[in-house]
Amino acid sequence: MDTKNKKQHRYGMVIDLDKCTGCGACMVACAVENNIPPATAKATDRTGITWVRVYKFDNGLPFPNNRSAYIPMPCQQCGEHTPCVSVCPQKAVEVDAASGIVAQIPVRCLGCRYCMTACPYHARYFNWWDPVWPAGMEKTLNPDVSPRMRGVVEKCNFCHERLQAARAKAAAEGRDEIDPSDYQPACVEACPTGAITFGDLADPNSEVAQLVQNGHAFRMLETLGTEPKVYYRSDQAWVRQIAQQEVQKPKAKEKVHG
Amino acid sequence: MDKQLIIRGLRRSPLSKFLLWILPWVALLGLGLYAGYLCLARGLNQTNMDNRFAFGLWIYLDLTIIALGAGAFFTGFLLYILKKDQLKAVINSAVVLGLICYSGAIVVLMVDVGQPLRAWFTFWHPNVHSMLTEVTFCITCYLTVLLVEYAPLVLRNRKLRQIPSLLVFEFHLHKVMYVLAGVGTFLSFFHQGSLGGLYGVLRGRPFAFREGIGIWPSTFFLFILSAIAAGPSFILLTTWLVSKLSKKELVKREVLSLLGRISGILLMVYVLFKTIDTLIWINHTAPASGFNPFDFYSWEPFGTWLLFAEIVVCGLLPAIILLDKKRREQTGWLVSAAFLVCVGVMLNRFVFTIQTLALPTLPFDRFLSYVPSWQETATFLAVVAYGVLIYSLSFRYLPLFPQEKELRQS
Amino acid sequence: MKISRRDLFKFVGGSAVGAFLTPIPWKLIDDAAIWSQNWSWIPRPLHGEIRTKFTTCTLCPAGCGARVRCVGDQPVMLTGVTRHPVSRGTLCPAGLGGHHLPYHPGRALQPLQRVQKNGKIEFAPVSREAVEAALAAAISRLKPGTPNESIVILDQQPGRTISRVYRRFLESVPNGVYVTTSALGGDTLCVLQEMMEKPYGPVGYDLENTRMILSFGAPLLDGWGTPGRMMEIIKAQGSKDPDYRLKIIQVETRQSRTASFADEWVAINPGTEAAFALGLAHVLIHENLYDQDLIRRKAIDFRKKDGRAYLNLVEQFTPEYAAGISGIAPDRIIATARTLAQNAPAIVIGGGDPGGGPLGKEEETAIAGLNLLLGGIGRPGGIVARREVPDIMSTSHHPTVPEMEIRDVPDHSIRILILDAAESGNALPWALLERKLVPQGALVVSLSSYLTGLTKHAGYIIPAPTYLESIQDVPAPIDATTASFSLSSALLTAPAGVTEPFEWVKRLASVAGVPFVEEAQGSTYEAQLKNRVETIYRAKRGTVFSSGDGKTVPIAEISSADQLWKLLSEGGCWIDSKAETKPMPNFSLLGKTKDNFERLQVAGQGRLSREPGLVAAFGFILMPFGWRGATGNGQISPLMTKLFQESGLRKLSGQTAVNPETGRAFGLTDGGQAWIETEKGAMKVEVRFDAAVMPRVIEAAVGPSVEAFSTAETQGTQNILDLCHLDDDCAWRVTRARVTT
Repeated sequence: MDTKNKKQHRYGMVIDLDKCTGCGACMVACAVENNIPPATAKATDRTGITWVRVYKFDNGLPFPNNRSAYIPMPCQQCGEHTPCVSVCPQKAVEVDAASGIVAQIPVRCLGCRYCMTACPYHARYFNWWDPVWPAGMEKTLNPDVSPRMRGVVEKCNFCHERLQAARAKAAAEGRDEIDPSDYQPACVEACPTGAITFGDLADPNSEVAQLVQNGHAFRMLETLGTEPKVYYRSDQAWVRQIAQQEVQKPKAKEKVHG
Repeated sequence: MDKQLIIRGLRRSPLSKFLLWILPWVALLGLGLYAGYLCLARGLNQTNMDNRFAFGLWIYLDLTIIALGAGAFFTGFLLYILKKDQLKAVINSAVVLGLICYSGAIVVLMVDVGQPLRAWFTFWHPNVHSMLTEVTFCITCYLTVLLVEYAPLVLRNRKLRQIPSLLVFEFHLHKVMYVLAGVGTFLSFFHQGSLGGLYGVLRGRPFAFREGIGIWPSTFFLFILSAIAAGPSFILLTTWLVSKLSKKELVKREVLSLLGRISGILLMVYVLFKTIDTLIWINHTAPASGFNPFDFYSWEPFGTWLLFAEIVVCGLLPAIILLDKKRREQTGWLVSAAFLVCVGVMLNRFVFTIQTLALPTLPFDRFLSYVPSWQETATFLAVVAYGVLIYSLSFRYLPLFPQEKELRQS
Repeated sequence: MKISRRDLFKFVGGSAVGAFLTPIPWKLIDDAAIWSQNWSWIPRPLHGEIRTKFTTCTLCPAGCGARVRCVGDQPVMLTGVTRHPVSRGTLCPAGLGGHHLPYHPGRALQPLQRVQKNGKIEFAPVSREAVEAALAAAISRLKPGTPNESIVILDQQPGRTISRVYRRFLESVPNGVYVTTSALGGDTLCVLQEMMEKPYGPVGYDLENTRMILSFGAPLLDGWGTPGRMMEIIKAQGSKDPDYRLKIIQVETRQSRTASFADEWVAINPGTEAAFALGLAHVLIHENLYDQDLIRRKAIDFRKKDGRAYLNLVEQFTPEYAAGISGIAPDRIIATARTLAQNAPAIVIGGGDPGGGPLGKEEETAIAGLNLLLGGIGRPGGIVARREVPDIMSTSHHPTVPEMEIRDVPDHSIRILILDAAESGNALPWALLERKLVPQGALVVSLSSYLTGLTKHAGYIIPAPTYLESIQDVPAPIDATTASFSLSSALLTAPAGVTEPFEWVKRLASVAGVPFVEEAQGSTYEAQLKNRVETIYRAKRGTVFSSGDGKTVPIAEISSADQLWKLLSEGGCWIDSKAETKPMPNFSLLGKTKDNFERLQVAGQGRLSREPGLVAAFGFILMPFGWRGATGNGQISPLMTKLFQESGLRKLSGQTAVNPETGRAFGLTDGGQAWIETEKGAMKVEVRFDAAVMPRVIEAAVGPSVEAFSTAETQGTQNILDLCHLDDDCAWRVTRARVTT
């Protein structure tokens, strides 16, 4: 295929934090779509696998002036200096030039975890255990995604298999380009408040591109220069500050429990 | 049999005493092998590493022992390339130490990766932009060099010398030793650097991230410098320790002084550059990443004292001692300074591996702690045991210190 | 030729070196990598034709539409149904994992009996006949006319066809009582009905047209009512004129998701909802902000001569007085009352947290009273009447069996308790049921599909098919303004050992020899359901949504009852037309209970006021909290680990939060362990410091434990609800506790 004529896409998200209630539907939908196994009994929030993890953060004020909000953190799909791509010793992380999606190739991964130390968003997850589903539940696996094995790293890929399906559909119908409505990641589809908008940032008419332009949009750790393609937005100043705010310092001399 | 293997003219302790000495190390090695087996068979859930602490004790161990093992290539470089002939007295010991450090590191790395069966992909599908690719290539190549360097030592064993073809082989090996030293130096310089680069390139970890020259962050050069500064000190320290333990004079006193002086000079250069680098990092690199560098030190116990300890107590201080001729001549000062140098490089590697990962990057993140599991610790200790065993065997049966016989006779 | 040892070594060495020059070692290395990608224990997904089916979720009473992606006939993914009139395109996290439930490790797959073995509770297989015989014998021993010897069926999703079957069955046995539990969002409405002098029929919240919701702890944005409905409103907020955006004020001790999302969070003292509500009423009345005309015409106890009128009660609750109890400044109480009046139409909702337990009846009365004062009943944007789902029962046969909420059942009166399989999603402590059982020899039978939650306490289990395994009907959700009806279809084959509750009730009736016959409505459960659909069809009201094409058509356009049945069994939904406004009957602002004035007066003082001083002695107030659908019943997808165990997003059972100041003062550490000790016992918990927690309060999660996703859950892990103090009104919201390390 002539790649010159092919349009360059930059798929991205704008997540409206004013609409995120922290319900966790995106996390469950993601796990169902991507065949992420249930946790083993010993797994914790530091060893589990959640391609999109919703964090809670607050304004730091004491009771009763404390306010909280939630922030879903999928892979931020960095566009520049993509930290994980350059560090992988054996090309198990690649950026798809046509879509801008940072892809993890688990079967090529040797599990050195260097990419995990490189990622400032902690969006990469290691398979510390063999994937195990309760007896019979393996029948509910999504046929479009291969389950991974122990000892490899995985992460969000904007439900790449859905992009493939949309491309296949477009090809079957003789179109060059996919219908944007055919390609929505599972978390976007599942979000009950429609907090996540997904689309092509390279298309100035797309809803995501508009939302990015409309002010009050920001990205996490922008100063690192990684140009993430996941944007956040909020009309509340204190929520927007979370991106600007330097890393929170420990309060008083508190003991740290890991 | 044991007696026949010991080098003529040297005295070694009775076999029973030797066996008693190695017994606990063998036990430790056994435990470590079992722990390593658990990690390979059941997976890395046997460790206390996690998604945030993706690197732990093992990577720290790798970085540290490879830095300490730098004495092997650097002594080779000084001896064969710069013709510092005095160092012939320690070169064999240095090669053994290097071999131990590098092979130990590789074995641990194989346990550390999740899918060791695919580790060779790095050679077949290398990502040339990755510092880890550089590290993998250089370490494996250099290990081969070390094996070849170790070979003549083994071949000089009394029993093996009886085989004529091996003698010929050894003779030829000797002729290429200069080439090997050169290759080894190049490879080592490179991977000591790329180990530093490993962390320096981490744009996402502003605590470790450094700017640099070309594709190499400043840590690339600083790691080389600190490794070659610490290497001689480590050889000095081990030689002194072996001498104490075996109650024998192994090298002439001036060899130790020379090692100390080399270490001191290099350390002074290192401290200078490390200071400049730290100042650039504090005033430019970290703020440009959006972080206040002093926030990195606001979590107890990881305070600025670490910086002070690393640069002043374990850097400037031993450098001054080692550069002072009077102090250097006093074994107490010399050994203490060498010890501080080694602690300094260990501290530096600790800060880069552990503190980097403990620090939060996201504003709503927490400072994390990590304590290695017994399996990790046992594997770690097994490398130490393995080192002690290889060194003990080498010391007993191979001519590690050519001056020993001479010193004994005098 | 003599082969020496050296020759042998040479040969072996040479072969080894030579082998490296052949492709063999490289092939083996390559294969090793391929093996590592194909371990036999890594499951492979099913392959087959991809089909889309539709059904209705029955995991809670909301009845959301679900689009089911199937490989062949195997469901592999559930998503919301766009434009579904009930769920509005959404499915909650629990619903998204609903298709995993048949494979839940804690499932009961055959009739079981609870036995003690070596001091441990175990569930041993038992024959269905044995259970039926035991029950029949117990039924035969019930003496008619002794209300302290009742047989109860606890139905947490009333209004279904099986609910009707249960009631018919209970009519046929002596002392039958049909019991329900408090429903999310429904409590205030139930109390409101009780306050009416004449039955007003079912009502719902007109959320789409309201301008303000004052919520007393109702988890509006976290699974309340019909979750998709609130979510759709939130979705639309941004595009609305700021003046007409829905304003939410959340009155709740805990900073719940709704509290942090609301426009205002009013963090009141634990258990003081009634004081705050009565304080608001005081301001509304004093500043003439209430519907004076309505109150004058309809309120029977607004003014009374005996000094026990609503006005007399409210008089006492000046803003200053209410502030002293609730901890909310007088100015804020006044401001909140004014905001309520200015943002008409406004709705006031009670109910409380799903894990924290329902508010008491008096508290709900005070809250419902605010709706009456504001005149929001029967008006757009207020609380409006809806019609019942057309039902043959309501026309041909009116039930005679008493229906009551579990809290109203007299203590120590239930001899036989049958627990239906369906869940309300709210927490229900076993202690509450235990209090209602006769002290000795009570028989508890559970029809649940899972060996979790309350079922662990049952003597016998006759497991029913689970979600997606049998056809079920779903009546209108509790908050709806119009009636609706949909079906959940059997997409999977139920395991051989499970029994459809309808079939089991029939068998039980025949074994017990009670005259329970349903021959008029047919003999199979499906025939019963078809019958109901036919009744709906014959009523010719409303519209029908079809999931396949997302279109809604008037029922008149449906050709036959069979056609309606087909549409509904393919995930369609029948929606009633809007009911005409009904004239409102007279009402009592103090409620119908005896001594209502005094009861409200006491309730107004707050739950902890009854024994002041004790709080100081104990140090902490324990407040449980939970999330609808996951309040300790374990009946959630094993993938829910992502929310509870693999991220800090929701708290697991055994995790608690305290204010950092309080925590430090009591020597606790963030992330450390502590013991919670109450009058009921002690439990080891993990403590987290959270600045959002009220000082001196310990918030404890009623959630799944790590074992909830395995069979270990049946071993009876301790639940924080076991530690909670059950008040006289069967609420367990606040408990005095000691917290020590």
